[in-house]
Amino acid sequence: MGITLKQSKKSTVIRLEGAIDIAAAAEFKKLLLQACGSGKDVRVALDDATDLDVTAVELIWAARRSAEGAGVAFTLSGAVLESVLLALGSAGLQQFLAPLDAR
Amino acid sequence: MSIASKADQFKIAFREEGREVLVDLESALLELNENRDDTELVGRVFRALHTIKGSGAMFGFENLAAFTHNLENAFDEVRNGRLEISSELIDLTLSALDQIRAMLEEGEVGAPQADPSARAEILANVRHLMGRPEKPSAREMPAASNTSTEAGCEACTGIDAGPMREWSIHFAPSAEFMLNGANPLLLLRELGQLGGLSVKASMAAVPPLSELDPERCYVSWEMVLATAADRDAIRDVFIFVEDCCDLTIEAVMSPASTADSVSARGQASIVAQTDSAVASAADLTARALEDKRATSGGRRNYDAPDNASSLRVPAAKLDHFVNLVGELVTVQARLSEIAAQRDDIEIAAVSEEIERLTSSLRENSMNIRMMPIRATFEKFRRLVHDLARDLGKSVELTIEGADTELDKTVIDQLGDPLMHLIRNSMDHGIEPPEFRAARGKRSTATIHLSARHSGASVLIGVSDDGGGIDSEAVQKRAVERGLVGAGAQLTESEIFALLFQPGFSTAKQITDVSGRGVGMDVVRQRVDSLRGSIDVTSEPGLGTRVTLRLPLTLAIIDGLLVSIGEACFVLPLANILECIELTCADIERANGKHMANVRGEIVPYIRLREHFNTRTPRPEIEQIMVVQTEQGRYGFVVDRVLGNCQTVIKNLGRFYRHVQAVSGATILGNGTVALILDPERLAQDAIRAISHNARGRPAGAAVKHGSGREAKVAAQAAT
Repeated sequence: MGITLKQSKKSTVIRLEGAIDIAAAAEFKKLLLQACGSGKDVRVALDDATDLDVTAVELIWAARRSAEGAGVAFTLSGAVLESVLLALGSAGLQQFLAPLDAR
Repeated sequence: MSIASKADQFKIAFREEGREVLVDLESALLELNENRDDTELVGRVFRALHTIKGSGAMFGFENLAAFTHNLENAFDEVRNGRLEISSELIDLTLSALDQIRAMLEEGEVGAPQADPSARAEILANVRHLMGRPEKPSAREMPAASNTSTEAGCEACTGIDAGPMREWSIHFAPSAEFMLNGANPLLLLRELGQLGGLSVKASMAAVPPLSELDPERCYVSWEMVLATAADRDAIRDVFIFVEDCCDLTIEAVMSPASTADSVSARGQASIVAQTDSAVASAADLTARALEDKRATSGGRRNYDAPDNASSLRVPAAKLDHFVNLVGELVTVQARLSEIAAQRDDIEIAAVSEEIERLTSSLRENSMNIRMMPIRATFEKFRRLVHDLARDLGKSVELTIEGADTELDKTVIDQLGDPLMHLIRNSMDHGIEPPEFRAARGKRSTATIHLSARHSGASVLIGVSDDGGGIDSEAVQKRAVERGLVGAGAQLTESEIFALLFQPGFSTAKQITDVSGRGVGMDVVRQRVDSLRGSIDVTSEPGLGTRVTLRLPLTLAIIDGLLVSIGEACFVLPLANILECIELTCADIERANGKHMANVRGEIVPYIRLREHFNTRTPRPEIEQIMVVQTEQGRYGFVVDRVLGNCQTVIKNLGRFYRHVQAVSGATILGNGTVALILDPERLAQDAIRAISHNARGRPAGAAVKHGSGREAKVAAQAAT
């Protein structure tokens, strides 16, 4: 499990790996703030995430609004596990991460 | 507090709630054993299993959840008429319940050991009953992380065969919900298993990123659930998180109008809806709710259980609170003492006000500790069921007065004595069915547990309709053991008292159940430690009744402060009927006999200054406190009555713990110690002394009670 941040000239990529839940929430927020404050495009890569809980969805939703407010592009990339997608969907949360694909 | 410790706290909360669910499950199973066609009981068992499974998975008890899931399947088969309730199924489920309990308590000090091989055997037997002897498939083993739902998996639906209804559910977790280790996604998944669920999540409360607390749940949900499940089943999904969320469950449509529009049972899978997809259903619901709220003056129509809110407080906190109230009562007594010594109206007024408030606070704190005895009684259903099976007897347990309330401390101490009394009845009292039938008795015997208040005491009864106690055999055994001399003239109550002597048993052989003579000794010791008394009555061939008289509370009582010589004593106010004067002339009129004429009624009395060997001069006029005891009205003669006092009961300590006529001590406002007298024991002592003196033998020769002499020592120690 881990969250890493990589910056290039044009964008900042936050890569999520493993279960992104309340235990990782503080770290995730810190990196999102850093990314949104960089003034570059922000991309959150979900390919290696095995689980997303409510706190992760809230952070992504807030970061997206924050980035859009600052005129920064915010995108999600990669597909998540079908089970994660179903869980989010059954809680009505999938829409807040759209577009989101299953792998 | 760290996330881990919060999660641990939530696990503790789950354990506490889980224990209650298991008690209910056990009770439902035992009732079901007696009423096998009762579909409501089947539903109760199913719901309890479903709750344990769902919540277990959510709080990290995956093995527990997986194991319970298989049992839930079996009871789903029962609900659907594919499996019959049998003794075998009940016994297997009860054994499974023991395993669930062990898994729930795993890691706790003194907890029973969970046994995986026993679990496997239970599951194999359950599956055999279900006609599926093969091993459970992985599909049947739920895991917390598996969020996929199984369409058509009826075992997971939790729906009873009732009319279809539509429910509007508002669920808003509290700020600390996630920190507590709860996961709303799992809850919603479980809710979806009850029927067709439409979900609308709201992110409106999520603040900007910079202000967002990353560990807090800001999301709330509005849902519409179409299901045949009732409100309780829906509430059960949230049972472990009710205290940390805002939850409203409201019926939206009548069953008739819903039945056509929704067929939830066939759509058990959760409908993964997007916002727009559920908009129509949610809007419909919202409009219905608006109409409903408008007609009720705009007020939210809460469910009755929401209004009847309650708090779960750890017993240790409550004990601490009561201890503090006790300290306050002592300090207040000191204040009253000081106020009485000073001629200051203002201090006197404040003192009186504090006395009033303290009294009220004391009464309230005592009430908080009062609990109905129901749970203690109910847990013996299982014991009776298991013992009846093991002993080859047919026994039913009947309960009376289960709502009788008494102090939690007393209730906590009652389990062991009652267990021993019941085991004794089952093993020695109740005859085998064929023996009973031959004697013209009903082949199914009865053990009756009862509770009722009697003044400041509660009477707990354990009676059976067995063969009764053979008093001759008891006395013969007592002679053999050297407890009484051969040819001793003992009353029936003295003979029965022998049963409670350490190691005493008339059993011809020691069984797994009883016969070692330990149990009844435990009963006596425990009842003694609670400052209670035991009364045994028995009719040969008809049965035995054991009555435990226990104080309602062990903490603070209303007392009457009296003096004898230089020492102060407290008599419990609840026992006192009246107070009359005793003059020298009265004593002469009675020819020195300890008898008073109270409005034509002769009341025997005990002169406590004689009882306690007090050597100071007696006053001209003494006071007789007339007290109602089990033995009738008795008078206790004291020098002076000093007044009412709120009495915080303190233990006497190990030196005086065997003193029976004194039930404790208290600290008075001036800092001195007063002994709290036990009128019941004093009267018993007096009767015993009279009885033995009449027979020319010293008191205590038959059954050692150790009261008179030790009471004198204690009384002298207090002066």
